[in-house]
Amino acid sequence: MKPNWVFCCLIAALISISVPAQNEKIKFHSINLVGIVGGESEVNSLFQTINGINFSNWYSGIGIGVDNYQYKTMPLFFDGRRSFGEKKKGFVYLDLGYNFPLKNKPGKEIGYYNTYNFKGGLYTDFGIGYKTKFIKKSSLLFSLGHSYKQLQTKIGIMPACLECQSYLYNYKFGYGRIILKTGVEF
Amino acid sequence: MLKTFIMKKYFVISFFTAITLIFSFFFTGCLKDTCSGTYSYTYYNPVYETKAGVKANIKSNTAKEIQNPGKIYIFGNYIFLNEIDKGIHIIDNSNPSSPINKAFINIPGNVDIAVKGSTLYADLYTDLVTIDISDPLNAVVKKYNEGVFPYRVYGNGFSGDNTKVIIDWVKRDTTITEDCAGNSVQLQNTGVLYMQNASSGGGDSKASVSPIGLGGSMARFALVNNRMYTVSYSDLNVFNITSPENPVFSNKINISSWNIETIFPFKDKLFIGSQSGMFLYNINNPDNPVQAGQFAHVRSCDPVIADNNYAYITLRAGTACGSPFNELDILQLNNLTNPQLLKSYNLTNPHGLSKDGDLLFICDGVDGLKVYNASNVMNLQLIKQISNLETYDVIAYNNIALVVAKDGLYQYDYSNVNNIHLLSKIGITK
Repeated sequence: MKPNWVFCCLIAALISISVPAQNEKIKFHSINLVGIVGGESEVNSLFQTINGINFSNWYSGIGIGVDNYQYKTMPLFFDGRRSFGEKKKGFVYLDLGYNFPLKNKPGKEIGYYNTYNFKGGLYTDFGIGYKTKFIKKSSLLFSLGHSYKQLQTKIGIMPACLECQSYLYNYKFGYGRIILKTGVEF
Repeated sequence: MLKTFIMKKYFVISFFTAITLIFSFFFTGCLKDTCSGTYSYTYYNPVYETKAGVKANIKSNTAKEIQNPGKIYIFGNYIFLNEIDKGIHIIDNSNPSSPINKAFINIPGNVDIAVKGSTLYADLYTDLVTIDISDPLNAVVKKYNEGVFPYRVYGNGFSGDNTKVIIDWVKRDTTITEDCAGNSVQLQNTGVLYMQNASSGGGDSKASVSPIGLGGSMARFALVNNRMYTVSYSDLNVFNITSPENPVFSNKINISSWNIETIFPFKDKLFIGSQSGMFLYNINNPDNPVQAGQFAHVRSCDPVIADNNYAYITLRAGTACGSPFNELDILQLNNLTNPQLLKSYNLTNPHGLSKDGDLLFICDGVDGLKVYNASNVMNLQLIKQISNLETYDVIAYNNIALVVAKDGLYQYDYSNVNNIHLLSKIGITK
């Protein structure tokens, strides 16, 4: 399955670049976040883990998560961050990737259906945050941003009538949300 | 140090408050859920003609290709084949091995026909038109009975120009995209007809009629002596045709059922098939049919034929009728007020049927034409199955089986039951 294959390659790449992370200037960091995402329809939860390398004021890594807004999805994305300010406590971040559908059923867009199929789409997230020292060498993070995710679904209606035509509907969803996250970086 | 710590705390709080306010100001407009639905469908634009123009063109015109065959009638050496919603093909069948498509009578909205003597009766949407066919190649309209078939209407919210007649439909395939946030996608009625089945301009399924001024098993018109009986939805209409070219509406009987499918005359009875069963009407008083019996079915589309002793009914599943059954039912007719089911035979997708002597012909949809020895109704014997054609209706008469199939009109010679063979085919053009 493609997403798992891609994910495994990304993990392998992270492991391979973690060796030079022992160097003083390049360090491996893991960022693990929980958050709430609020949009036009609802407020719901999300979870993310981002693993990558820190170099000077920059951080880049690969993230994966679960986003429960409207339809449950799994974003897979590249994460880039830049620290600023005194002791590099402020940061801005940008995530860009693909949003994979998890197990879902069609919602209120159609009354009944015989078949359905979900497909993913674009995932973006950008914002600003603050981090402060936590336990030992870990940091506590807070961030506020805007996130956008896309999803598609194809719904089939086959009337119980061999001589009647079936219908196929294609729906494309886009969700712009405010996203508030907190978590730990170590 | 304490002062520095407090200042830092205030800075952090102020910083996040400012960020939150900035985000709220700039990004509230970006908090939006969007949904767009895309789907493809077929729609039909009506082509209109004035009523005067339509009437002027109901005559024997140049022959047209057969595209969408419907009901069929045999009269003398001619075959009258309905082109659904368009009119009637006149086919010279003097030589069944080489039938000739001779002429076409334009009748918009036509799906039913009946022939008595040299008079043809056809529906023109909600009207009945009477045509003199003594010379089929020079057909002449004799009378219109307007508004006698009130249930010929269009579905899907279509509403046309009632001052004119729809003579054709221009088919278009299209894909539309609509905003669906919070709502299901709806079709918009813009004066076009959104169709599910391209062949049913008026909502009727394909049907075919059988012979000799006889309606076939799929008929909605039936001729008995000097009366013509028609069925529509839940009514039985009676027309006095003592003067064949001047049909006079005589009576309307409510059948207290719905979705009436077929009518078949048998001696002094009418067999009427519906989605709730078969009804038997006594026509001893021809202008006042009276219900004499009923045989309850599950919902199905029920073509019916009968011989002296039995009625033969096909039930078909997978249609808008909703029944799960595909079978032939044989009923005993010794007690016409309460016919008894003798036996059921499983079939594939049965449509029309016909009988000549002991030979029973059944159109079994994609399974083709099946010919049975019905001398023992409790043990029908399959004599021949003609496959590779999708069959709708059959007329078996005088050793010729006329079969209406999806791809054309076939004629088979069954004079020797051990050698039933194809005589001719008139193909259809799609």
